[in-house]
Amino acid sequence: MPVEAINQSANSSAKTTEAASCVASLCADGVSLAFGGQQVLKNIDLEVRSGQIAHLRGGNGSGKTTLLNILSGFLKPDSGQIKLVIDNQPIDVLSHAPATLARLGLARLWQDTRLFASMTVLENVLAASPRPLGISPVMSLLAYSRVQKQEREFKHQAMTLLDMLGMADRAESTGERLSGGQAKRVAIARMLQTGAEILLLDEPLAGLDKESAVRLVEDLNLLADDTRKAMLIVEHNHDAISPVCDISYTLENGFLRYEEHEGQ
Amino acid sequence: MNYLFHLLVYFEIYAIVALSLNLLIGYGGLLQIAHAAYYGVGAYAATLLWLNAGLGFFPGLLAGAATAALLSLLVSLPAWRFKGDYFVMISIAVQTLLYTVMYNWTSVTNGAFGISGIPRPELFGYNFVTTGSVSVLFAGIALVLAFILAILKWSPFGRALQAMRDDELAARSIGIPVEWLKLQAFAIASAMVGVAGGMYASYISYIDATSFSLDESILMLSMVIIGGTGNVRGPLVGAAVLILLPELLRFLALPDAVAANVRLLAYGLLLIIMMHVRPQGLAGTYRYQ
Repeated sequence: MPVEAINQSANSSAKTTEAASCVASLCADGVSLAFGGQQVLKNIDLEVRSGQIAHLRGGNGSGKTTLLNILSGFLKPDSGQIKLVIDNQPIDVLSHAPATLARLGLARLWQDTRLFASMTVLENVLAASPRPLGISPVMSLLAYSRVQKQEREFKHQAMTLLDMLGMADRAESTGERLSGGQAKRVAIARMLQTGAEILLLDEPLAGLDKESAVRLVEDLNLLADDTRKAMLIVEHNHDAISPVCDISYTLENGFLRYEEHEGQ
Repeated sequence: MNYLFHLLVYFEIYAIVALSLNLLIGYGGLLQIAHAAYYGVGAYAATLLWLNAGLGFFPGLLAGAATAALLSLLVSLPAWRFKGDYFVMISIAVQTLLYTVMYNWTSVTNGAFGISGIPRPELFGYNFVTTGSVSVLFAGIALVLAFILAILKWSPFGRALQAMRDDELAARSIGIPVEWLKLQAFAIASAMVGVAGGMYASYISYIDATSFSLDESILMLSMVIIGGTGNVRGPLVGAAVLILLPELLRFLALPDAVAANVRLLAYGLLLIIMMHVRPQGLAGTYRYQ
């Protein structure tokens, strides 16, 4: 997989230099976007690094999902730069397709989960496996036994993730038969199966009851601590998510306000 | 008995056609309308190589498959960005364009007169002259191709295709390269239907462009929709039903002038009934939307 390094200019900000020394980070610099004559995002600077959980908050229609779409490569901003750093390797987000970014280590969770409806829970998670042998049909035929061996390893990994998220007993159910909360957990397992270092989560707690929300937040916190993954979480349930967040960003009138949480 | 072998040969050819189309429609959610055109490209390429270059049966079939696959790649490259209705319109345009080329490129295809005298299959000095022997050979080819498609369905490639079909945006977000996937699916399906085209030419011993028209594409589509998509069984059932249907209509002793129209009417009616009563087809698992 080609990793295209971006040229870091001599006068790059201290923030970027600091990010490059991390294992993984995502850094937006001066991102702006207008929709239908209205400036939705105004000169946004944002950064999230390995092991950090950042909370992105704001009212309905404030542009949170739009910002996630830009950060994950699904939408191009009018101006600004977005840099992804994986294993100290800088990557220009705006010059890569979302699928390439996901394979490089930037995955996202959708607000409406977007599970593959005709597939089982396990197949949904397996579909996201990072494949060193690729998904080429020629490889599937010529290197059948190698592909099958790899498949068994991915299946084990997928079951471990489903177990962690309390969904192992539903592995053979189809996505259509899950409740909203269960679908959300499967979608999180699917996102984690990609092996991505940077996770963008759009309202992971929506539709979950209080107990499930608390458990999921604990899981996410453990994940950030244990695996040093970086997370940017859009979430309206501030009470549930705030205790585990290292930093908060508030999006208001197109501007982003930054706040560091003490003691994190 | 010869009549039954003849039906069996047709079933084997159309089984490959329907299975390859199912790869696109059933697994990939890509509504291909130009399948008959690639069937024709395979038939013409193999025929020309058998007659003019003296190629053997299997090398000719493979060359026909490669030509159809390459052409589909050329066409798919500019079309891969289109989805839904626009993709279907492009597909119809490709069908019409390729048919027009086959019909009018008289120096190569002999235009409306077609090409006759196409040799029956020959393998290691054995001539497959009888319909029964052809049915045995074609059964072997159909089984090999069905086996390859079954492996692909359960492979990471097949799963990625199904993910793309269910939700293209979600597929992109987990790292599935959907554009590349579409190209590969089109190339494989076109290569397989190209093989079927070569088999058809070799069996009938004569081809002209009218065998590869939009009507033929709709027949192929009907096989997949009526039989069912998303598994190997559905397209096989569809191929069997639509091969047997015209034979059953023969018993109505309709005048030749109206028989063809009645057949098309029957296909249309069947399609409408299936879409309302059983959208997943007679034996399919996926409900095409």
